[in-house]
Amino acid sequence: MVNKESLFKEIFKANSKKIYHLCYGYTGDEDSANDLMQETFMKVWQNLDKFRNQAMISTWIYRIAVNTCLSWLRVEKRQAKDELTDKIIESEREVISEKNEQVALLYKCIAQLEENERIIITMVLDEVPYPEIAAISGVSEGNLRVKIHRIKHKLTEIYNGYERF
Amino acid sequence: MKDFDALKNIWHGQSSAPKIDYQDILKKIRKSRSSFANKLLGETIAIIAVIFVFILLWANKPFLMWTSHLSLIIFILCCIYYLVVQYRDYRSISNSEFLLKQPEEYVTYLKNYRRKRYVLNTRKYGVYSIVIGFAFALYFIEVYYTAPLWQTFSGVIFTISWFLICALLMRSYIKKEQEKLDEMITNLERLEKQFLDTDMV
Repeated sequence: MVNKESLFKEIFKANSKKIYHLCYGYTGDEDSANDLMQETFMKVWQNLDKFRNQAMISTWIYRIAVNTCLSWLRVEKRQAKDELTDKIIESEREVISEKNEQVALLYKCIAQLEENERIIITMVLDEVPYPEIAAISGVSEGNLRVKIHRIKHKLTEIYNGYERF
Repeated sequence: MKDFDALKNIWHGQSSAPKIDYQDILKKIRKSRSSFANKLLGETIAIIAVIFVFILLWANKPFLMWTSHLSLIIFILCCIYYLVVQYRDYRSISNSEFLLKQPEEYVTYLKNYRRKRYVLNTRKYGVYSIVIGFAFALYFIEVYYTAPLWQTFSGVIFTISWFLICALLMRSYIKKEQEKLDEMITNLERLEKQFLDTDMV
């Protein structure tokens, strides 16, 4: 049990930030992102004994996180796209920082992508290797490269569209 | 105008971090595990107690008609069916096999799970109620022959009213569930399409 706890602590420290980014990118709001991240790691704990190095641990955790995000839509009955409004920008304004505003705007733009695009692009932004993204999302590497190219273009256009105003 | 690398720089400059620590998660795991286990245990004990009461009643009360015996068998079978359904549901929730599947397969699993739950909560519940109603009707045959008419009459009226109230409540519940299911299935099918690995090149 103690070993399991220390292993869990290690896994949490190594992966929590990236998983949080994925959940934040998917839901578009901080509270839901924290909830989803918590749910993901609860499932990680419950299945830790079953993890037999069949894949990299981060791939395994990412897959749990992605599936948890996908079922969030089912439970919460709300669309992430509509959820992320100016709320984030407003809350970020409290801290008068251009950097924070840019981050908030970036999350706002990610929220306008389709769900699978949000998942893929947050992993790209967090520099997850392409073969790992392919394994997590179930998309073949060839198709993934094309997809990523399109999503990058789409996201940049949305972002620049906001910056023009 | 920013290119993707500029967006990547913004991303890496973010200060947002999770508000939850691993210890909070461990606390939550312990709490939810015990509360869920207690709920499940409580329900199981209650149902076993009801089955036990039925068996005691059967053994100690000299029923005169075969219809009463049949009604008790139906009641006991309904209780056992409820226990089995609860247990199967628990098994299905704890089954983590699908959690580790690829998104497309996981979404298909979610769709099927939702449909099954809907059928259980609506159609199967309807059949379950009809069977219990039938068991009551069988029991009232003996009451009719052995008890004063007013007792039979008030028993029947009470049971019918109870069933009518349940049916009315069930109707609005089914309507809401159907709407919820339709919305979920639409969302899940949309997600399923997104994760289809179709040839794009």
